[in-house]
Amino acid sequence: MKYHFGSSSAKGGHDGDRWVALVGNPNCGKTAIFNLLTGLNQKVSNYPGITVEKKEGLARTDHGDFRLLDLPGTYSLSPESFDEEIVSEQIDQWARGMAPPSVIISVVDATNLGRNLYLTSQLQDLNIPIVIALNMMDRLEENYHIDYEKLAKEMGVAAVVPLSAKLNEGLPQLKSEVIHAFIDNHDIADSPPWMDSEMVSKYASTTHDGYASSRFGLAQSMRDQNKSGMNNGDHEAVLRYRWIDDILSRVTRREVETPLAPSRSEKWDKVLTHQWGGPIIFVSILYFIFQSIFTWATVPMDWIQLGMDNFSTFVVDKMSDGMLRDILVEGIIGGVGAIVIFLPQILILSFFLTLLEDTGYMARVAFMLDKGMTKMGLHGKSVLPLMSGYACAIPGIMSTRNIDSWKERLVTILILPLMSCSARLPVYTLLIGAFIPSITVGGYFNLQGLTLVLMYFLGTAVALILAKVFSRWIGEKSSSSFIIELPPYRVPIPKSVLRHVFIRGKLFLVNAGKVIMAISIVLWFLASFPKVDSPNSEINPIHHSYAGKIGHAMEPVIRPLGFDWKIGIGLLTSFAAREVMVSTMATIYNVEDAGEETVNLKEAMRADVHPETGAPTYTPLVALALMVFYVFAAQCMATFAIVRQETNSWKWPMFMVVYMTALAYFGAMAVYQGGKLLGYS
Amino acid sequence: MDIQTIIGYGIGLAALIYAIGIFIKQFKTPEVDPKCDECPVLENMKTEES
Repeated sequence: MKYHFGSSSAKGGHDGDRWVALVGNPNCGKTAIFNLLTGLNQKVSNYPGITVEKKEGLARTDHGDFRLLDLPGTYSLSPESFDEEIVSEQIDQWARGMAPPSVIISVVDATNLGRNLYLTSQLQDLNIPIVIALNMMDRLEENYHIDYEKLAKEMGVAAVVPLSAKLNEGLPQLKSEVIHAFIDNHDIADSPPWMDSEMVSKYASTTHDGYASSRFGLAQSMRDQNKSGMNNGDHEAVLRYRWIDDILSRVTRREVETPLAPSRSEKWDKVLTHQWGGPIIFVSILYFIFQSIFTWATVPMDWIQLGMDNFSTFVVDKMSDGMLRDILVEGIIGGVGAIVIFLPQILILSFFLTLLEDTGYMARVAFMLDKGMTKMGLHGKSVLPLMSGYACAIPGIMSTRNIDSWKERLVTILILPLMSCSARLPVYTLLIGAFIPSITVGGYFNLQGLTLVLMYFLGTAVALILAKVFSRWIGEKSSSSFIIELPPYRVPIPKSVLRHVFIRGKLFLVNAGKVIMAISIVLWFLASFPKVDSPNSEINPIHHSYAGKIGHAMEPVIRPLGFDWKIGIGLLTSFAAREVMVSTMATIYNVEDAGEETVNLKEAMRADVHPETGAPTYTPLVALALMVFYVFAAQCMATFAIVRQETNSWKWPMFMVVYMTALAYFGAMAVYQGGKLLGYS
Repeated sequence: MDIQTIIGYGIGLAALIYAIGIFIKQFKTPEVDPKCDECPVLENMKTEES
């Protein structure tokens, strides 16, 4: 997909269509600056490679507006991964005069000037005005000083603006310098300052004609020759770094030379990434998170349940008997209400996952697990997508774009939906709450929390085993090295964390208010029609409804798993989204009950008995089998669509659905039949 | 037919059309842009492309 902003002039557009590009290393704060300048809410995190796509917004200033493009982070113009390729290709287009920005904001981590200015020096070759945004000034050592004006002059950029996106400081000055850069005359030397005349004439002969800036052409020619191995020892990196180091020696000053003591992050790393201690701490953190999801959410969930009951009673009291009231009480409040109850759990999970990313811990987890991941046919960079899968598979699948090897990326995509996402949480907690006793085992562990943790670990363990299988089966020989920059540990910005949690909660509620409500209403009709003229008092009319007939038709297939017709309907409707299973069960029980208040789903399921035998329809064994089914089931339309998009084929999403459905079916059957053989009912 | 039944059928029809629309939409454009929590990127891209 191509962007066409502004004029096609190599020196930028005029006032009406001016636009600015944000370019910088991974994890230097580009997106945080983008959000502050545009007022948008792109995801930011303390992990390299969070932005994998180009994003655009509008920045407003007192002197006019400009459009801003946020690009994924890259260390240089020699791409190592798909997201870096996006940047490299985009910059190559600008160099060829194809809709270049009027100004580039080069975001630089002030605590790592040398490495960050490398990319800035490559951008300078474009002959486009550059404003350096010197971010993370709040983290700069007190005795370290930078002469900003001198740095701008020596580098040959329009301005250097010290700022802190975290503290929201320096942004007005950045805007002001960008506006100045639009109107200032800007021109650079035809050859890079780090190239001597001999090199210039050597590479000038092989420079492509298509570049608007001859200086970029010279540098690109050297890069091309480096890549093809034709270079005679002129290394761009060595020459550029030599030039940058020389400048930095003149523009920076350290008051007192302090001995290199380990930083606070390094001290933490000794513990958190310890060969043995690190993984134990990681597993303990995960256990704590999943356990707290279950225990901390109980009280707010009870409040929401009470609110729903009161609302239902209010509607019944205020409306006369009729179809609309039944749809509202049994379909909408019963179905959607059953899902909304789980909001606190979604918020708690989202809160902890955001904390892990924003503190910088997730990058350490990727580093720690790289060796193990490689053994399983994955990659260290697979860790963050897999962990994201605990919240939702879709962003996880998208973020596999920064995995260099296609095979490792494909394997990660294929196994990622096995990580238990937050949509499974309502299913797990409903069944656990209804059928697993809240007792303490082993002196410390609550059985309900432990069961939830087991479901998450089951999905993860099977995902890793399958990664190994798929890796061998796909067979393509490709592997990549894993280099990750470990960001320093940072205290998360409360506003950013709360915004993530809020947005996750909002998405959950919007989904409940749109898709789940629509399905609940359709299901209410299917469960209420056709009306039975002479009802048999022993058999509930719902059995004769369309939904009842569909469910009963499915029963022979799902009976070996211990599932009845109601669960069958839930399995069908939850293809839209897994949590629809819960709203489906709630709607069915509400229609079946036909009372004046919404039923309590947990109690209704516990009280459900077989009409002929009188035996409980749902037992702890059935609940366990159903949870195992949902651990593996491919029930998510959006995941299917995103896998099709990311693999650009129908083959892989179809394969994913087939293998996951087979795994779910036989996994649930093994649990149910195995349990029966062991004497459980 | 009383007013509640008429409105009820109307809501049912709207919900059915909406649910079918969601299914179709999933395979035409992805519903969410996961790296952008709220920004109207998809709309912007459509505008740019047109």
